[in-house]
Amino acid sequence: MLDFIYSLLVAGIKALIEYVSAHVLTCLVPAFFIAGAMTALLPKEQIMRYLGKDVPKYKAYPLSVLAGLLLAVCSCTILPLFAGIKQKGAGTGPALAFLYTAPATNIMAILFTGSVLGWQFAVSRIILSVIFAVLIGIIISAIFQKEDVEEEKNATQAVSREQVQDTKTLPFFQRYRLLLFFVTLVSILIVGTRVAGIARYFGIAVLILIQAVSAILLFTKEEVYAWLSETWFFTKKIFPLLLGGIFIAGVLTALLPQDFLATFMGTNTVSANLIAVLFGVFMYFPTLVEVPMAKMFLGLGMAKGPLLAYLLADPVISLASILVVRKYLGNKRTAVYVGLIIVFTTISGLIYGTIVR
Amino acid sequence: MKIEVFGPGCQKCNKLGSMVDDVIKELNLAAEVVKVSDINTMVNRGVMFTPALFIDGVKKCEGKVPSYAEIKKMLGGE
Repeated sequence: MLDFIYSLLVAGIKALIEYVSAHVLTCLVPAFFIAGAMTALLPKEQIMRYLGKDVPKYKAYPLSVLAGLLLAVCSCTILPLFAGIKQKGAGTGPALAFLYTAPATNIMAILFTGSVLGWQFAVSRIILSVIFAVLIGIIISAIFQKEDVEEEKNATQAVSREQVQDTKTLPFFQRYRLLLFFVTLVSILIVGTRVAGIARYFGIAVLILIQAVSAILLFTKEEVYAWLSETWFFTKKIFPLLLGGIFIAGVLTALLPQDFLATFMGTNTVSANLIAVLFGVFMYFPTLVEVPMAKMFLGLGMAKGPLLAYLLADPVISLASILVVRKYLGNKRTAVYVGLIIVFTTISGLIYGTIVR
Repeated sequence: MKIEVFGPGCQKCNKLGSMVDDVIKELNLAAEVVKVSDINTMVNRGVMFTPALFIDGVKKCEGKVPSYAEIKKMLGGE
């Protein structure tokens, strides 16, 4: 018995060491800095201004997807934003698109997926999430037009108006310094994960220098402080959860019989994809932990199609988030929302599994 | 003075709440602090990013945790 527990512990610790040495320095540390910069430096009100009431739908959808990509790195800001877009802004459809993209295309999750599972998975994850977000938004607002109109009547004043003033005073070159800043940050990550040999250390050193100089020259002390404290906040919040998740994934790998997953999800069938999706819906893992979990499933013989289906479904909905969404959408729309996600992710798993072998 | 702290109960919102309490204690203010966690109320008051801080019904800050000094200034201390 003791031997058994000991071997489980060893498996967990081995998984931890492997992840920490392979991914933390090159991928996660830059990813935390990027997420921190996004929260602290992007002009949030300016982005939200474009999601006001009178924005035509063809603009509202891409913009909400973009907002989901850029803004909501922290899960607790998603719901007020969602409720705000729905009731005071562009309406239910774009609000749902936002609600979908925000967790699904979380910048850190995508970068981590790329680093651990390969960039093919990461890119598929972004592209499919964006497509689903828009499709689900359009379908639901088309089915429930009546509810939409009624809710619009209840909407009082537009939020966006008052926020115009605070952002108009921003200097125009703000955008360029932000661009430079993010390009450098992303380059550090790319050089760190993709370049080999001595060029990597040299490249990283130069890029960090550029980053530091541009932070000092182009940004105020308060902005740099806000960036660093947001970065630290993310690290503090996510890192322990991630280590715990990796440890548990390692233990599970040792615990589960070798062919357990392969039996149910080893081939690219409808049922395999559906099981993977349902597992993703009903299990809740904190942000980023789905990635080491997926790596474990892959190691245990899960096929690539179901794996992608799982990765697409897991961050978007869990039982907890379904309950919250129900409060704002009602039972019927929530059921359709969840149903559509299950159908879409299952189908995309099937397609992905057929293309990639 | 009426102070409202908006936040659904995440770490940052709690931090803002406790900092506000500290400032009030330090400045010895007679202020009523209300914590608002209902999302519909937030939307109706025009709050999109949490945490947010309202003083006497006016939005002073949104979407970030201000520093201790900033809160002090908002509350009229130097």
